[in-house]
Amino acid sequence: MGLILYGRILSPFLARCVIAANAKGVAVDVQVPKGGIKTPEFLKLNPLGLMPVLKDGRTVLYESAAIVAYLDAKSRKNPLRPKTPKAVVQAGLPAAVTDNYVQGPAADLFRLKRGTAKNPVDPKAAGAALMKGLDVLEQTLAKGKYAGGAKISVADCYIPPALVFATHTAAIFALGDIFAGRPKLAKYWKGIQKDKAVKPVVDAMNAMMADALAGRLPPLY
Amino acid sequence: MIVYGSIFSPYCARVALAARHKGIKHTFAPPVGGGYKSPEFLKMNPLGKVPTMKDGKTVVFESAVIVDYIEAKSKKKSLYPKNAKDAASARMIGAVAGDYVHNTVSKLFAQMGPDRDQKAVEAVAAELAKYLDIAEKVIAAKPYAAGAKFTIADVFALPSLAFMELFVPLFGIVNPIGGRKKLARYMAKAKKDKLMGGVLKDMEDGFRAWQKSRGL
Repeated sequence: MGLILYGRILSPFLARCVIAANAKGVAVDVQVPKGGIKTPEFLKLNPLGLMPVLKDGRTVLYESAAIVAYLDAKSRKNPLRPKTPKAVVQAGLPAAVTDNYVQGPAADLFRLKRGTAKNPVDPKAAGAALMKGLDVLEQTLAKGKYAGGAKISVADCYIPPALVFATHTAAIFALGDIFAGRPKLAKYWKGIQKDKAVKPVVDAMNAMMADALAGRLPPLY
Repeated sequence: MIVYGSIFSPYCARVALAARHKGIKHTFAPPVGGGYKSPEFLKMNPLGKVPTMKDGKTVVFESAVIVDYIEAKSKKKSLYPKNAKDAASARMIGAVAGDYVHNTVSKLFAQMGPDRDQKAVEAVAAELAKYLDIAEKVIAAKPYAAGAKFTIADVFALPSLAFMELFVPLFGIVNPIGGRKKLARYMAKAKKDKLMGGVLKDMEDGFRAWQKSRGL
């Protein structure tokens, strides 16, 4: 029986796991949980009621960082966590900055537009936070093809899904071109979208994002 | 290794736990330039946050990245279980008992002023109870968070739970762990553990000094 990821590719947390699986050459089947992610059945898998959940035989895991680490250990191809202290930081920092300062405000703006925000969102503050997060990301990106340098790493699992959210929400809220004045990020985005592990995920997210914003895709929560 | 920040910040305590476990010498220091938003400090960390670490010429910020840096610095006493499933589980336990708990607790910082919104405090208490229930489910407490050994799960879980126990009583939330047996056992054992107990003591001392300085 193969690996199953419960959730939907539009979730940036699920998308990063799919990029990781693609990079590792591990097959995963993405399945949308029946009835969403707040049903008693789903809460049995993940009491937090969040996607993604990974099922590998009897092993059930949630939290994208844990799932990415698990997938990383599944095959020897493309280790996603470098070993030396310097390389660990070069890959880890852009991943952490994306996770903590880019993905959050971009998702807030997305939920505001979609009408699914649980807490009030101030679009000006969220837009400013997103721009600041992108500035720090620009500073932490390596110069190579990948975010951590010459090889694909955990950073390349985290950044592209966040940039899908950032490009769409920046357009909607008229925040301007997010790549203007951020040359490393611009070059990175252009290159990474051609990567075999990343392209199918970004394409699928973009298609689903359009549906979600047009009100054709009800949320799973 | 210099760590800018105060140990009672759970993010800084994560670094202290990892470094002490791995036997890496480090000192905590106040920010260069007189503040976390000073030009000197922002040059090191554009986010102006703690912890920020300097090791020779290497500057690293974001606690999880600093912890990974410390892990990579020496192979001895790894923070990760060898088995892939156990390592992933340890991360998961750390995320629930660490990140979700602290992200909820830190919402109370907005309620420190005289115009406290009691409804908002109650909402935080309810959310915290929900995450503590899940933490109770996933924590091993045998006696460490992920099992018989100190791991990355303790690095994330212990500082958040410890800060919670110090901070939330200021808002009338008494004994947040309550009757959750595994969490209670975990904290009781941690206090007696040389490494974890030492960090808990330093966190409490730092917290009390901060509390006094703020007149809380």
